[in-house]
Order: sequence, then structure tokens, then C-alpha cells
Amino acid sequence: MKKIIYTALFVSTVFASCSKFDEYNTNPDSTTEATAAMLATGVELSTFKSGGDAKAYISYSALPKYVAYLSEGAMDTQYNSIGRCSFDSYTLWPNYDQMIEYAQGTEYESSYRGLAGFLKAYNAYILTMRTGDIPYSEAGKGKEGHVTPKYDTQEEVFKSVLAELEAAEAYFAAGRDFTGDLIYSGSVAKWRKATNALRLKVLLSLSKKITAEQKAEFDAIVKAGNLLESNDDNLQLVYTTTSGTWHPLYNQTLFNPYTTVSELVVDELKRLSDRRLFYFAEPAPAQLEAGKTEEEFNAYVGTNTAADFTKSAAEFQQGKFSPINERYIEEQAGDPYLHLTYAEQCLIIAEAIELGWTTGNAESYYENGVKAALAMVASFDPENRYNHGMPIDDAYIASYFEGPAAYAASKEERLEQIWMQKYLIKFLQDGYDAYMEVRRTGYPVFPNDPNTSLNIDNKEGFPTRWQYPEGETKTNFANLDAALKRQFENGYDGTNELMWLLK
Amino acid sequence: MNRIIAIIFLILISVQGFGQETVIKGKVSNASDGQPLAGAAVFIDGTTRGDITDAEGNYAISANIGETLVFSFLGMEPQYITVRNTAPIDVSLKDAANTLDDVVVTALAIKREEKALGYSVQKVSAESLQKVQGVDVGTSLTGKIAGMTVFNSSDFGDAPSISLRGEEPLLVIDGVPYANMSLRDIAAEDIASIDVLKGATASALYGYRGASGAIMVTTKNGADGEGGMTVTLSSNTMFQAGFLAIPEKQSAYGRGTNYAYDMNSDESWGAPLDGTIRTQWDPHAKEYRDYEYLPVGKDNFKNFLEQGYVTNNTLSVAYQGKIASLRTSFNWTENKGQYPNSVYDKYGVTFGGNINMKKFKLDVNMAYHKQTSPHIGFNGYTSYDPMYTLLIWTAADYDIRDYKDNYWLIPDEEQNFTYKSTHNNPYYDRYERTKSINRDIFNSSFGATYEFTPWLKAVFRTGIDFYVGREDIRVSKGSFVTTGNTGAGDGATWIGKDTGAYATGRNTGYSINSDLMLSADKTWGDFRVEGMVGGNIFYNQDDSMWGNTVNGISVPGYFSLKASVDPANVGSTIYKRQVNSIYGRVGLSWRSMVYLDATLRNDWSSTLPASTRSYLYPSVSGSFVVSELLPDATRNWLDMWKFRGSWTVSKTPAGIYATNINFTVTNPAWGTAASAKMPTSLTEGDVNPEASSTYEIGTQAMFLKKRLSVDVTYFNKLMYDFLVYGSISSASGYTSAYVNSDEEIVRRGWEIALTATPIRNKDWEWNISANWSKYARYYKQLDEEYSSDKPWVKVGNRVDAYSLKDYARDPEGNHIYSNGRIQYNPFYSCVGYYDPDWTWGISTNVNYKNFSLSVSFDGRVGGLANTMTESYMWSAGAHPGTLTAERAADTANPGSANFLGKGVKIVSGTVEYDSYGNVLSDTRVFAPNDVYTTYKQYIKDMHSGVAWGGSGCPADLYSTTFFKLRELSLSYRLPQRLVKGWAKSATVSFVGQNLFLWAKDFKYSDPDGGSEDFADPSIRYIGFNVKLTF
Repeated sequence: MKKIIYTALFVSTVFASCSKFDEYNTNPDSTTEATAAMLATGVELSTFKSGGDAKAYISYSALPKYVAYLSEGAMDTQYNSIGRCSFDSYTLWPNYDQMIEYAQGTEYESSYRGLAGFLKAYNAYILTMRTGDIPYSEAGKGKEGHVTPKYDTQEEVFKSVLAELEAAEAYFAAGRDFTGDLIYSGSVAKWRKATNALRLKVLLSLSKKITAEQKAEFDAIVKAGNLLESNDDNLQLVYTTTSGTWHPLYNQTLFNPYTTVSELVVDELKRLSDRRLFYFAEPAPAQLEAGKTEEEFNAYVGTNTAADFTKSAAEFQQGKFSPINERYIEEQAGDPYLHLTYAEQCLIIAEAIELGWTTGNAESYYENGVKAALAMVASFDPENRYNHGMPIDDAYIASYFEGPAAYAASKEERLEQIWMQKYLIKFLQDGYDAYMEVRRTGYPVFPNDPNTSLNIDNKEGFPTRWQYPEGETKTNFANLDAALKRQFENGYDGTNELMWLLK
Repeated sequence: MNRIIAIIFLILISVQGFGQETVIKGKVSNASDGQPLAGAAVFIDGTTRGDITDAEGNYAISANIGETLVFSFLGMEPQYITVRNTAPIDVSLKDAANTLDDVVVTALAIKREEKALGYSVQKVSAESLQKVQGVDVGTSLTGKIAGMTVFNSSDFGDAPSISLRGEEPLLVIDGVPYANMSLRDIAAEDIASIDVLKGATASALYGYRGASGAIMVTTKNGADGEGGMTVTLSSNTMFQAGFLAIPEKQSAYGRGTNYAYDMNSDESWGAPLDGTIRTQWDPHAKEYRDYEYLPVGKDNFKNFLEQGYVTNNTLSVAYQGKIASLRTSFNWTENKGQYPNSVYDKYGVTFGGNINMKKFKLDVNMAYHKQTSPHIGFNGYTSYDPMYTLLIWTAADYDIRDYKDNYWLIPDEEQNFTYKSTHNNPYYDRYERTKSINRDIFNSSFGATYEFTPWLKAVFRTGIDFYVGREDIRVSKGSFVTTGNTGAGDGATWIGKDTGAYATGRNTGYSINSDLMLSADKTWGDFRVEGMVGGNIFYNQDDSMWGNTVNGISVPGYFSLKASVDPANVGSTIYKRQVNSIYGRVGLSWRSMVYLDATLRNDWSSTLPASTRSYLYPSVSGSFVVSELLPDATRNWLDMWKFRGSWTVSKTPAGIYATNINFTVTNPAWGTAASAKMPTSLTEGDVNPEASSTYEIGTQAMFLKKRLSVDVTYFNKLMYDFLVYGSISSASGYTSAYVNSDEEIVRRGWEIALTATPIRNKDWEWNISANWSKYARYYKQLDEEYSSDKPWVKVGNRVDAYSLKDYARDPEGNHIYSNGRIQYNPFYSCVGYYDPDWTWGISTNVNYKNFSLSVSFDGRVGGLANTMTESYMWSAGAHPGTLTAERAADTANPGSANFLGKGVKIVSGTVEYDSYGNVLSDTRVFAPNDVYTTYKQYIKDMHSGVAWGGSGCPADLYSTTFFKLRELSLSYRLPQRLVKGWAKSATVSFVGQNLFLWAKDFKYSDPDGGSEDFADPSIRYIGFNVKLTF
């Protein structure tokens, strides 16, 4: 019996030793505390870095017909097939809140509030542009137990985005330079400018639906003047030669050599005698063999992005087309990834002046925008290694408007000039953003052939939106269903349906 | 250690015996019925002197005092008796099967009579695992246990994976459930027996670790020796003798993506290999040159392969004394795989002993094992696997033999290969881009039993294992490919292209498992009560560190973190867990006829929050030996017939750190900046352990003096309270919530085992055993929020649904084409199931005099798998099946389209679906498809690879149905006269493993691994086995 008691004693000592359990279950290599700066770096990277690999990057640019892809098989986006979008950017919302919480009461609170507001608005803007109605007023509240947020109408979302940006502008105005910022090294002055530039961009996206108050808001922003002033103010992610921060296309020999510049881009650059051609493309091998030189515009041949893939691929094998510039393969740092540029801002204001939303000299905004865009491309090849002996220098920029680029006489032509120049800024940049703009303006006109189109619901036309993420049908069905039914006939989540903005 | 060796030598010398010759007489009888045995052999061990018993079982033999008499009869356990004096020696021999079947090892190493058990336990004799010794003893287990499925991957270096009733069982070695040991760490020769506890009830006393059953391995520690000293040498060597399955590729067309020669393309959709003069790389001149374009690489893959072999050698010394015994062994196993530089070695040293005194018993086991390989490689869709480069991503237009020992253009700087980017010379990949491994593991157990009174004893058992592992990835300069997703550490992915790289991972860890038990056993008349109470503490810790170079290595051939061009990236993790338990068991029995058992265990786990960390598991089981009630007359043909039943609840706590809320810190995230991210999972903290409740019923009967036995089991396991990262709308800011789901899944299955001895006489014996099992999982209840919302996820439906996007069809079932291209549905549908429908195995053994033939077959029926190899061979244009007339026409005129898909096209109208695939509206009008596309486009559409995600194409979905001739051994035991004077016994065998395969769908690869991701050619092994006992 004694032994039983001893055993019982042993056993009870064993179970008194649960005290270390919490220590065992705490991971010393991860942290339950971070800093506002580290969170800022995280949310900025998630927002401004291009997602996906080289092929994905090419496919983003194939949708707005900058390039054609002539390896493996027909690229879906080039032939107008798009699928679902992702709601991943909502997972940044708790990070915004946490970042503000860490900054609360410090002298940087206002700065981080500004950053949080900017990113929240920018990501929501991107999502609503792609899909239509999205969760906004109830979004990001999982921690409070709210896991099925309702969808706000697109009209409400735009209002909320603009209000958020207005608030962010005020926060930046009151803030001080902060840490953790990859874009402007924490300069609140630059962030304030970028916030205003984004407000203009958002308002212009509303051109079909804009209200008088919103036009007045646009005018007020322009008049207030806190705007991007040069390429130095561009909101862009700069790639570097440090491992992990390379341009997505660097050294992607499986994809890049089979990516050619589109006929749309090549022909337009030729028409404008625009030397960006020499920065974007390589001469077509067949043209060089035929005796042309790399300095000649005619040595460059674009690919019709709507032509039958098999035919194009065969012609490509014969050297008939211009691949994208060698720089994209050779340079680790490559071109920076542009989000908001001074050039684009100028062209936005030029269009608004043409539309009568604000006043000013549209021609000089147009010319300043184009000059900045040219200078920017020149800066991508500062040592003149890839431009085939046709550099964009000051003299060239000064002479640019002597030809067909001169601001036209008719308003219709002028708008087309503005839109085309804006389109050219985003060559091998944020292709989906460029696509959104062409969706709004209808210009430039993309080539299409119903016999090659993969846009199964509308072979004569171009897709207008992405479908909602598949996960929403499982996790938030009632709200998704309500949003679909109020937006589209039959509640069909199709890629050719028209959202409020486009109706 | 020195002392132990000295003792062994002393014993060696002292067992030499001398004596006076005398005549010994006696009688041999059958132990089961007491009848005399006629024809039994009696001889003096190590000599040919002997006698055969007469009809009354009598014998007479001249022997010296000190010599050993061997009594044997086919089908019975031989007995060894040393002559001490001149007194007659009467012997009763037991059935060989008899001794094997009756006692099994149950949870906590408690030996019990099989008929008393209320749950299913199946025993495998060590002998059946030792006949053919490959790399892993797990392979020899295949098909031997009803309910156990062994997936034997043909990939070099892959250990077989064992599934018991669809789950991974716990491995228990000599009563200790080590955390880090695997069957790979045990040599077949060291195994005394394996008992498989199939269900959760059987292993209820192991707590959550036993929730999926247990494999109980008992190692030899001397106790089973034959008295005195035994030295055994066993050597099994087998050579590669062809392949059961090996891929082939087309050699009519060369590199290119669009029917034209493209020097840089890695696909085989190029121009014909017709002898046209083309600019090509010359491997010897090492320059581009114009020469004939020919299919010189027709057999590149086969030419690349090397002769493989496996050799498994064990030397053991055992001593059996009166109160103490010990055994030590050394094993060396080497496997040379089919690729260059694929060598894998295992070394093991074991030591075990026991002391058996009247009241005190001590068991000690220790083992050290090492595994090492200069290049264990990676399998699957990766260029580390030579199939990737040789079969898929290069054409047959170069001869790989030209590149052997010729992979440098500039040593340590630049490669010599037909490609200048994207793909390495496969020889370079084997020698200059390697993953070496080294793993040492030590385990030891200490068990002591003290008997206070005949009915009360205490057992203390503790086991420790400790491992140190190391993995190194070395990529020389000049690689066209990165390290890839090596898993060697956080930052080691996608580095080293051109620059070279070094990545290293070191992991170490240990576990301690200690039990203290007090057990009692008392009989009152017909009643017997036995039971025990005990406590257990289990602690394990895994510690790892890794590092990798950043931006390359500074000096060619200098593989060290110090070689890193930029500061090296390093990291570490540590995981700790402790579970404390108390448990008890009570067993009641009446007249060896009715048995009842109940167990109770309570765990406290460190991985759960304080509020839920304590939880209880009960179990009840019973056995009713119905044959005890039958009239005596039935004993003539029915030896035993019992029914059994059991029920248990088991719980599995959350994983280590699963309930923590932590930031993800990335450093550097961009340049030198560090970033932090909130977790994307909501964690509430107060989760309960996962739970399951299992019941099992079965019956077992033995007939005709145990020459026939049947065992049938049905089990039903209800799993609930699943801990899941349930998906929630990302719009909430989080993608998942860590919760107990309301989903319930039930796994049901049947197992049948049959053993028979159709022939048994003086010279012949034929044994056969067969088993069959099936199981499937079904939804019992769904969670409204967290269960997957798919049309096939319904109560009553199977859980292992294989879903994919099927080809789109018109209402008549024709394929729909658009612009000539085949169309897929925009939604997923269920096309079949992953799990096999059933699994079977048959082993048979025929003995004739000194010859013995053993053969085992096994197979699986049903279950789907995507064929990665063929899928990519199709889409890269390398598959032999792509040599069609349409392809020839496309190639003859690049840019033309010559393939017409059989089906329809849409003339007008559209269809709209909801996300379940239900049609919302359909206005489509169809007409026969008359739009041509290229053959390549058709093939690309039919076979989209899944290496980077996706669900695969119906065309690449194969049934894994197959059967295999797993093992064969024909052995001959040398007659005593031949071994006299130099050995106790000697057996030589012709052996083979993995001998024949029949597969329903798989032609180019072996589906035995369960899934097919660039499965290496499946090697047929043939060789010999020599076993000598001294």
C-alpha cells in the first residue's frame, strides 16, 4: 500500500510541473510586438511591389496590348481572357490599425495615420476599379468578430476613398518625417503631394459619373497646389542590385526573349518619331539581315497582338518581330515600378482642363507631362547602353513637339493625344492600371479578332472587369450574392458585365 | 565498452565443453495433444550424427556430455537441449505457428494473450521481414498486415510511407514511443517481432500519439538466443536488373517551341531531327558549329543511368545466460541509386541486454544509427531530378554521353552544355549542385520491473532519443539554375544562379519519454482481475539553425557561410512540447472465456491554453471466446472462435505554437529594411483538442489445429472537433480563423486476414496468408461556416474527392471547342477519389526439406493520381504519343494548323454559371467544330502541368491500380554435414525485390508511391542472401 502512495506522490509531483507549459509554447523566434516602421515597410511592399513572377509581369502588360508573348502557348490576357481578382489587400487593414496603434501618442502619429489612409484608399480604389461593389465600411473588422462584411456600392466606395484621401492629406500636412518608408524615405511633404495626385486620378476615373461637387473638389486640389512637381516626386518602387530587390524581368531568359513589342506601340512611336522605341524594343532580326540598322525606326516591327498565335509564333521564329529591350533581361535594378508620376498627373490635369473641370493651360500641362515622361525613360538608361544609339537628350525633348506630337487643333484629337501619351508611360509597368484607363477612354483602340479572342462571353469586345475571388462564394456568400444581384443581370459574376462606373 | 567486449570473450572461451560419450534415450511427443511424434529428427548440433524417432516417438543417440541435441520436426519449433548426464531426455515439440500467434505485445509493452483482446492486433514474424533485406524494412512489411498500406516510392532516398487505416501510426520500439525514430533507423536483422495495434483502442494508453494505432517493434536483445553464444552474419546484396517502369521519349523532333529549330528553346516542339545542317553546340570543340541535326540523344535518359545496387549486412553476437543475456550488432547498408553520385549509406550499432532475476528484471537497449549521402537530391518537378532535364526540358538532339566528365568550359566558372541558360548539364547537376545529408540518431531505453509480491509489481521505463542532422546545398559557380525551393532554410530559395551558393541546415533535438507503472494481477476462482496505474511524462524539443550565402560565393569551391559575398542570411527555430499524463487499466476475466478491459488516461498538454489543456480519454473493450461454450466434439476441427468489441475516445492537442498570435518578421524585406506583418489568421486561443471516437468489432476463428485461421474486423472512427484554419472572407482583414470546426468525418473500414497451411508433412510444408482491407472517409456533419462549400461536400459523401476543372461539354456530352481550342468548365467538379478502394497482399511460403521458397504479392485497387511525368512530357512535346500525322503536317508547314478537335463549337449565345457550376442561363447554339488549331496547341490545352499549382487535367489523371511481385526468396539451408566444424547453420538464398509490376494506367512510372511526381525509374533488384550462424 505504501508503494501505491509513493506512486501517487510521484504522479502528483509530475502534474504540479505544468508551470513551464506557457514558456514552452511561446516561440522565441517570432514576436508578439513590432514597430510602426516595420509595419509600414510591410504594407508598402505589399501594395507597391508587383506580385507574381516574370511571366505574370508580362501577362499584366499583355492585357493592355503593350507586348505579345510568343513562347509556350497563347497568353490568356493577350487574347482578352481574364479571371478572378484577389481580396488579399484587405489583410493589410489590420496592419494599418496596428501601425497607428503603435504610433499613437508619438510625434509620428499623424504621419502613420496619413500613410494608413493613403494605402487603404489606394488599395480599395484598385479593387473597386477591377470588380465593382466591394466591402468597405464593414471591412477589416475580423478581430471584432465581424467576419462577413457587406459590400458597399461602387458609388459609396468612391466617396469613402476620396474622404479617406482628403483626411490622409491633412494628416501628412500635420505630420513629420517618419521611418519605415521605402518610397519617399519618410518625407511627409512628398506623401502629401502624392496623396493629392491620387485624388486627381481617382476623380478622373469617375469622369462618366462625376458630380458638380467632385468637379469642384478637383479644381480645389489643383488650385491648392500641393502636387507632384517633377520626376523626383514620383511614387515608385525602385528596384536595386541587392538580392531580393531585383526587377521581376531580370535574367528571365525563358520569358523575355519571347516577348515582343506590340504593333500598337511600335507603330505609334514610329508615327511620333518617338525615340522611346529604342528604349522599349530591340530591332527585328530579319530587318537587320535585310540591311537596316538599329538606329532606324524601320528596323523595328511590332506584333499584332490579336493575330493567330501559331502564325505569330512562326513569324517570330523567322525574326520578323522586335523583342523587348535587352535592358529588361540584363539589368538587376531595371526600371522602377511606377505608381503615380508627375507625367501622369500633368496629363490628368490637361484632360480635366479640356473637360472644363478646372482652368489652366492644357497645352503646357500636356507638354510638361510628355517631357517628364521622355526624361523618365531616358533616365532608365543613363549610360546609353541599350538605346541603340538613339538617346533621348534635352535637344531631342525640346524638338519633340515640332512633329505630330504638337498639341492638336480639335478637342477630340487633343484628348486622344493626352490618352495616348498616358498609355505610353505605362509600357511594361502596371499594365492593369493602364487597362483601366483605356476601358474609360476607349483609346488607344486595341486590335481584336473574334477568331482568336479567348473572351468567351464577348469575342467582339474586351473584358470590363474581373470576377470576385472564389473564396467569397464560400465565406461571404449572402453579401456577395446581394452585391452581384444589384449590379448585374442574373447576378452573373461575368468578366464582360458593366459596373456602375461604366454605365 | 571495453569491459563488455572482455566479458563476451570470457564467455566465448568458457562455453567450450568436454565430455564422455554415452547413449541417450527418450521420447518425442506433440505438445498440443501429447501423442508421440514419428519421424522427428534428433541429431547432435554441429554434426551429422543423429536418429529418427520410431512410431512410438522413441529415439536413441550417442552423445557426449556437453553436446547439444537438436529435436526437430517440420512445422514445429525445434528444441535444443544440452546433455548434462545420462538420464533419458523426453521432449514435446510445439507447433511453430502456435508460439507465434498466442502472445502479442500491446500498449506500454505489456504482453498479453491474443484471445483476451477486444481489439485487432496483427503480428509479423521477424523471419518474414528478414528473407529479403532492401534499404528499408518497411518495404518488406508491404501487404503483410490487413489495414496497413505501405507506399513505396521509387524515388531514390525516399523511405516508404506507412499508413494504418489511412493514418500515420506511432512507432514504438521496445515499449518506448520515441519522437524521432523511424523504421529506417532499425535494421531488419535486429527485429525480433512486430505487432501492429491497429486502432485507437489498442493504443489508447499512448494518448494522442497513439490515436492512429501503433507499430510495436521488439528488438532482439539476447533473450531469444539459443543458450550460450551465437554469432550471426547476414548479408543481403541485390543488383539492379532492369526497371519495372521507365519513361521513354520521342526522338523525331528537336528543340523549338513552334515547329522551328530554336537553339535556346527547351521544348521539343521543334524541327525534325532529319540531318539538316544546323548551328549547334559542339561538346568537344566547345564552340558553335554547323553540323547534321540528328537524334543522337535518343537514349539520353537510359545512357545517363548507372548500375544500382543495395547491400545490407548485419553481424550480431548474442549471449544467453541463466539470468542475463545480451546482444550487440552492427549493420551497414549501402544503396547505389540509378543516377550518378546517388549513394546512400546507413550504419547502425545496437546493444541490448537483460537481467532476469527472481524479483527484478532489467531491460536495456541502445542503438546508434547514421545515414549519410553525398547527394540525396530532390525528387519531383525540379532540375535536381535528372528526369526534369533529360526527359522533359531537352530534346533528343544531343548525346548526353558527350558531356560526361566534360561539364566545364572553364573549370569552376562556366559550364559546357548544349544550353547556355535555364538548364544545367545533368552531370553538373549531379556533382556541382548537390544536397548532402548526414543524420545521426541515438536512442536508448531502460526498463526495470520489480515484483513486490507474485501479484503486484512496479515497472519503470524511460527512453531517450537524440538526433543531429545536417543538410548542405552546394551550388558551384556557373549554374544556370538557382538552388530552387530547397527547404534548407528561409532564405535559401532561388539563390545561386551564376554566382554559386551554399546553404546549410542543422537540426538537433531529443525526446524523453518516461513511465512509471504499478500493476497487479489476482485470481479468485474463475475470476481474474488485473490492472495497473501509471504516469507518463513526454517532452520533446527540436532545434534548428540554417544559413545561406547571399549574392553568391566569393571563391569557387569554397562552400561556407564565410564565403558569402554579402552578409550571410541566418535563422533558427526551436520547438518544445511537454505532455504529462496519468493512466490506468482494469481487466476482468472469467474462465478464459469472457474478458473485459477498461482504460482511462488524462493528459495535460503544453500546446493548449490553460483552460483546455487537461483532457481525458476512456476506452472499453471486451472479448468473448464463444468456442468455450461449444460441445467438446467441435474441438476436433475448431480450435478457438471469439468475438471482440471495443470503443475509445482519443484527443489530439493543437500543434506547438498553433495558438500563438505572432507577427511575421522579414529581415531584410527590401534592401536592408525589415518588415512586420500581422498574422492573417484570427486566433482565439481557447480551442479544444481534436477528438475522435472509435468502435471496432471483430471475430477470429482457428480451425484444424490452427492450420486455418480467419480474422474479420470492422471499424468505425468518428472524428470531430477538428482544429482548422477555417477560411473566412479576406475582406474581414483575415483569411482564416483557428477554431474547432463542427465538421464531423467518419472513417469506416473492413479488414480480413486469412492464414492457412494446406500441406504439412514430413518433407513438405506450404503456408499461405492473405489479407484484404478497405476504408473510406465520409462526411457525417458539416460546419456551416468552415466546411468547404463545394457541390460534392455533402453529408454521406466521400471526403477524399478528386476535383478538377473538367472539359466543357454540350448537352450531348461532346467536347466544346472555341477557335479550335478545347474548352474547360469554369468551375470544379468531382471526378473520383484519392484513396484506394481496397488493398490486398498475399504471401506464401513453401518448405521442402532444406529448401524454402517465399513469395509475396500485393496491390492496390482504385485511387487517382495525376501523372506529373507524362503531363510534362506531353506539354513539352517529348511524349512518344505526340508523333502524330497532325504534328507532322504542322511541322512541314510552320504557321499552318492541322488539328481538328472532335466536338462542337458555339455558333451563338452564351452560358452563365454560378460558382457551383449550375447553369444560370444558356442560349448557346452548337455546330460541329470545323476550326483547326495546331497539334501543339491542342496538346498544351489538354495537359496543363500542375507543378506550380492547379488541379491538373482529366487527361493526366490515372488510376493507381496495380499489383506487384514484391519479394521472392529461394533459400537452401546447408545440411549439417557441410557446415560441421565451422558453423551452427548456414543458409544461402536467391532473393529479389520489386520484381514485377502490372499497372492499369501507369506505363512509364511506378504508382506504388501513391502519387506520381517525376517518380524515378522503378528498379528491379535481384541478388543473394547469405546467413551464417556460429
